[in-house]
Amino acid sequence: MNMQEWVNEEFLDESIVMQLKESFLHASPFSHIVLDDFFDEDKLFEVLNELCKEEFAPKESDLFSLKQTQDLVSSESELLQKFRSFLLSKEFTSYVYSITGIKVKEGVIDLAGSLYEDTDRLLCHDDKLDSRKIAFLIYLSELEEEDGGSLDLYSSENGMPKDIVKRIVPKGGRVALFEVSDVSFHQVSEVVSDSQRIALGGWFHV
Amino acid sequence: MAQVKKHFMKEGSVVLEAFLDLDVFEKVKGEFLNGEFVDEVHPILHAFKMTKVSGDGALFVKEFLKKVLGDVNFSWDVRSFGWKDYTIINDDVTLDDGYDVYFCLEDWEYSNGARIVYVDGNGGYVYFTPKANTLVLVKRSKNMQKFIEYVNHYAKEKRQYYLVGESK
Repeated sequence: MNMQEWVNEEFLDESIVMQLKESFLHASPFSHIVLDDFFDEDKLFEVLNELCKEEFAPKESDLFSLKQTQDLVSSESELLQKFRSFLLSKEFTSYVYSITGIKVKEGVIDLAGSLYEDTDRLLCHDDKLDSRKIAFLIYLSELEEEDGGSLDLYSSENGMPKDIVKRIVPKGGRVALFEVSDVSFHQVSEVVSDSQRIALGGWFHV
Repeated sequence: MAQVKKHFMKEGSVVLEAFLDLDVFEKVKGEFLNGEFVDEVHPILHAFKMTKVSGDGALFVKEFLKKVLGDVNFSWDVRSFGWKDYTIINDDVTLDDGYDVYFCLEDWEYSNGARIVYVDGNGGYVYFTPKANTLVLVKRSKNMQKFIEYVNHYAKEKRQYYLVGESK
């Protein structure tokens, strides 16, 4: 279980990592990065197949409507456990540090599957809770911009969200990472079609 | 009236359909809908359109409220919810004891959102889905929180309108 097994080769190149680090640090409206085809496609397809066997429970509140698995720490899937172990391994968390400059706690991760369908959404919030420090999303399905379901990033003014300035459209194999902070305001826009937005997501902690 | 008051005191809320005579309702509705609506958008709190209403504008409901609640002062406005509009519970804000009034101006398909939702201190939800010309009166208490449910894309161009009174 190592980086070469899960991550596409180009992302292991030192010069690429340096570029990603610069990108992350200088991203607007807050530190984030979007990586296309980051994980091995075949492996990710297997992960998707296993994830679809998990139970997705509907969750509704003032802030959101979606379906979500339990934290995958309790999954009985060998492959999902293997993937989870890889994400919280020293090797991967060191890689995350090399891009973000943030030393996350090794061996600690929140990881769950999410499913957004027609009218599902997650309204504007900053993710700040407890020791969450880096939020991540691994998209496992593909939507067009007109389907909705995008990760929308807000600019901020005086510590409050202002305008949506970036939309990250779900694309199979795309990974999005951002630093949780006082200004990491974002939403998942409403899905407005029959398309399904399936993703693995969660947080690294400090 | 005595029955309404008794029900309200016991249940903490009351819903009164066909509150006004139809021709009076249409006149009142027309006046409110012709107000100047401005965007009230703070993404982490709410998004809707609003027009202020003077105390005189809510005269039609004031007499009723006086009989049920006694002398209670309210602030009034009309809030309009269309696609992508909502309010969110603010965890930093707890409600004071008091009363909330909603007078619904449009018939609406509530599968599109815009339900009036109260959350009690134990996480229990109470939903109000009033028809047009319906008055909803709610007794607020400190442990409660409230929100207007997000309006989804099935609303298309339609909007729901509530005359909202909040006791001071």
